[in-house]
Amino acid sequence: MYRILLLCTLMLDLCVGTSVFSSTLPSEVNFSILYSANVNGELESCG
Amino acid sequence: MGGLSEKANTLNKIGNNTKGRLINVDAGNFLFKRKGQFSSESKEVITAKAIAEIYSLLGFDAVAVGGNDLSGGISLLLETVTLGVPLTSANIFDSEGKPVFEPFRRTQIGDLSIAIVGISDPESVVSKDFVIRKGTDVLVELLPELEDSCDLILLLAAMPLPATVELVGHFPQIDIAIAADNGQGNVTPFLSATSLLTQTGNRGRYQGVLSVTWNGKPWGNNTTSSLTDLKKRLKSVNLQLHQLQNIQGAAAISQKDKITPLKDSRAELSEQIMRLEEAQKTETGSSDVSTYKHHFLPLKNTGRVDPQIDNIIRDTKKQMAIANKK
Repeated sequence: MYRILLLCTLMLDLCVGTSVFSSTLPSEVNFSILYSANVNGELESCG
Repeated sequence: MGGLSEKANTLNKIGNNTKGRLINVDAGNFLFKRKGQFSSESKEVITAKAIAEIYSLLGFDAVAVGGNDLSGGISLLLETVTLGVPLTSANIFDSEGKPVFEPFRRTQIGDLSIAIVGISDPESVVSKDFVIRKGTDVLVELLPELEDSCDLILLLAAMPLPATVELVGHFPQIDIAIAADNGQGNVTPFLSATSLLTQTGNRGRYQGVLSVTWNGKPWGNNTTSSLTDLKKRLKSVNLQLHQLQNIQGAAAISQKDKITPLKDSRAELSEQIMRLEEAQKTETGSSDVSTYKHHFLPLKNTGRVDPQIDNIIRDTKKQMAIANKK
């Protein structure tokens, strides 16, 4: 039973082109962090 | 109007340019200028409520609770959460020992799972309504759990910079830390232990932008970007030298002292560029480090307005005028 399940999983991997045994995280991820602090109760600070 | 109206414009613009691959956070001390206990009719609380309403429109992923933010009481902060501002603090507990706010928030960029943890300054306020525990005491339990389920941990430290440096030194799980030190201006990102640490200056005058290429490895320098910076500096030094060397007559003698250090800089920069170009030739395709670029955008009055936010500001001014007459 176990072997049949393993075989099915591997065949599914081949169809989808990925592997359940490999990490899903891509090697590099690009993103931006927008950050602020100490707005200090200012609605309209102008530099 | 500048300030929060300008911030809304800036966030929208960056959001469009990055196709949504961004995290928007605030490290705290946004509602009040100083610590205190302000009544619900005070100008300070009227302004704080307007800021809370505006913050609910800015699409934040997490906002830390600073010492100043507690000046309107816990009830004002809970109202702020109800408005939709994702306040986050892992170390503020009520009198029964229950956390008052979400200790962390999760967000996702593609397949990258990110935890944003908020820590408030335990030294900031003493109250019978709540207790602020030491950051190390709560993080020692929380971070090992998050490390197992997240790819990157971002700390919002609503506390002074030296205390933040000390805190991240205890926890190698923290990848990025953003501080809220009222006494500091913009702090260029720097490596503190294994974390990248930064913050923006006070009065909301700047928007910090950190562009990250993350591969799960320690922070390092991007050779291509470093080379570009060095080449720009070399060009500038060459230009200054060219201008000084073209000065004729008596003025030329007084410029001689400036030429020697510039020539030294030119030689040093040329050598650094040569070394990096050599290193670049031997680099393989994949990078051994995670890299970043940063800039601080001044939130000046550019004349571009956000109508919804400007309406809130106008209404707030009217309310304050009425409060002043009373």
